[in-house]
Amino acid sequence: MKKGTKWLWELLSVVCIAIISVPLYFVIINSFKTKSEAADMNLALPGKWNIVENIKEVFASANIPQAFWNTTVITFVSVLLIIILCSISAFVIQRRDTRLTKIITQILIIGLILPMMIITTYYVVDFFDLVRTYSGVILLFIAGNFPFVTYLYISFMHGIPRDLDEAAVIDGAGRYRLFFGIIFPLLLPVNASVLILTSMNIWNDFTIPFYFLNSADNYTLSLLIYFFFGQKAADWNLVFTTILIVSLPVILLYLFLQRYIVAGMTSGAVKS
Amino acid sequence: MLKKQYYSYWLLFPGMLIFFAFFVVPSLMGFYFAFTDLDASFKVSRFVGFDNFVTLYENPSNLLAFKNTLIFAVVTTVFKISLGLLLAILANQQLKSRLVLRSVLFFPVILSTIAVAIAFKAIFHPSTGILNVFLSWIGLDSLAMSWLTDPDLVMYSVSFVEVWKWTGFSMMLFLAALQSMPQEVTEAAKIDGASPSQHFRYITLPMLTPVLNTNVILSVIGGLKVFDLVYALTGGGPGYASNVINTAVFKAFAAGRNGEATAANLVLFIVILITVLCLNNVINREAKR
Repeated sequence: MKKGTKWLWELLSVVCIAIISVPLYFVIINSFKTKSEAADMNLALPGKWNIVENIKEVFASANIPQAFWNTTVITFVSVLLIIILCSISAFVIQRRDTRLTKIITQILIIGLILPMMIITTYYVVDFFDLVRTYSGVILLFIAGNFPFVTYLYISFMHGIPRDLDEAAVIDGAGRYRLFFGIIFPLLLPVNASVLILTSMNIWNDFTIPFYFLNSADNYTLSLLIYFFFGQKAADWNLVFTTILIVSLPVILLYLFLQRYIVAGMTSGAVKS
Repeated sequence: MLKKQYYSYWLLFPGMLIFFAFFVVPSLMGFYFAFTDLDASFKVSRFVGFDNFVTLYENPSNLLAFKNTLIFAVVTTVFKISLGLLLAILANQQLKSRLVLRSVLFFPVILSTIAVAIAFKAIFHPSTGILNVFLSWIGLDSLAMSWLTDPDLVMYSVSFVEVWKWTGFSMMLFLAALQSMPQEVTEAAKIDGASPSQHFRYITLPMLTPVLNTNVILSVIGGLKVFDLVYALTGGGPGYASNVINTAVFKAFAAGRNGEATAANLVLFIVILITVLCLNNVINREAKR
C-alpha cells in the first residue's frame, strides 16, 4: 500500500472512532457536571466535579438497587433455564429423526422469524395471572429465545457423533447421565455463546418488561432509565449519571471479556 | 442405533410446553382476535370481520406507521450493510488504529437501546445539542436542523441512531468472514495480476455472500420489528410523524382497543412473513446462478 493511501485509511478509521466515541464521552463527561453546567450539553470538562452529589441524588430519587436486583434475577433465571431447556430439547430433536421432530424443526424455523403477538401474549399471561410477576417475564423470555437457541444447539449437535451415545450407554449411563454427564459438557462453546447472547439481550430488553412488568417495584434497568428520564428530563446531569451507573456493569464486562463477547454475539448469528 | 428411550420425548416436553403456551398459541390466537372487538379487559362481545383492519386503514397515522416501518427497515439495512462492509475492510488492513476501531465500533451493540436513545435525545437537541453546535462551529449553520421535531426528518434521525448502534455488529460479521478467507486465494489472484477492484468484485464479494445474506435478513427483520428505539427517542412524535407499526400497536393497546392492536400486530406479522419469503426467494435464485 502506498504511504499516502495508508494515511488516508488511517484518518478514515480515526473519524469512525470519533463518531462512535463522542456520544459516549458526551454522556460520561456530563454526568460529572452540575445541573446548570449539564444543561449547556457541551463537551467541555466540568467546572465543578459533581459526580458524588449526582450519584447520591440519583440513588435518593430512583430505586437503583431494586432495579439491579430485578434485572439480575430475571436475567439469571431466564438464561439458566434457556440453556438447560433448549440444549435438552435440541438433543432429542437432533437425535430422533421422526415425523414429529421434523414438524417441530419447521415450527422452530417459523418462530425464528416471526415477531411475537404482543396483545394475545398479554391475554395468555393474564390468563395464568402472571402479569407483573418475574415468572411471567421469565417464561416469555424463554419462549421468545427458544426457537433461536434450540436451533443453535441442533446445528452444533450434528458434530457430536452418535457413537459417543452408544459407548456411554454400554458403560451403563441412563438417559439423564447420557445427556448431562456426557453430551452437555461437550456443548461448552455453544453454551458460552448462548450465555453471552441471551444475557445481553435479556439484560437490555425493554419491550417485554415494559408491557408485562409495568410497576415501580418491578422496574428493570431499562425501564428505570426510561421512567427516570420521564420525571427528570430537565436534570441532564442526573439522567446521564443514571445511564452511566446502569451501563457500568456491561461496560466493565466488555472491557475484560471483549473477545468472548464479540465472538459469542456474532457466531450465534452466523450459525443460524 | 440406540433405543429411543434414551431420547425420550419427555425431555423435550418442558421447553416445548413453554414455547407453545407463550409463543405459538398466542400467535395463533392473534388470527382470531384480530377479527373481534377485544376490549381493555380482554372480553370479546362480537366478531367484527375486517372492521379492525378498515379502522386501521382509515386512520392516516397508521398508514404513516406502515410507511415509516418500511423506510426504517430499508434505510437502516442499506447503511448498516454498506458501512459495515466498508469498515470491515478498513479494520482488516494493517492499520495502527485497527484494534481500537474494532473495539470502539462494537461497543454500542452492548449498550441498552433506551440509554442510547436518551443520549441521542440530548445530542439532537435543536439549540444546545452537540450535533447542531458542531455543525455551526464548522460553518454549516444551514445544515443544523430540528432533527427530532421536523416531521419530514425525524424517521431518518431515528434511523441514524439505529445505524450508529448496530453498524459495529454488521462489521464484525463481515470481518469474521474476511478473516476466514484462505490466504492462498488472495495470493493466487495477485499472481494472476488482479487489480484491487477486480479482486474485490470477483473474489471477496462472492465469498462474502452467505454472511451478506444473514446480515440483510437479520437487519430487515430487526428493522421491521423496531419498537424501543422509536418509543424512547420520539414516542412516535411529533404528532404521528415517527409512528411505526409496533408503536401503533402499543397506542391501541394503551387505549384499550385490543382488537385493533391485535390487527395491527397481525399486519406486522404478515409483512415480516412476506418480506422473509421474498428475500429467501431472491437469495435462492442468486445461489442457483
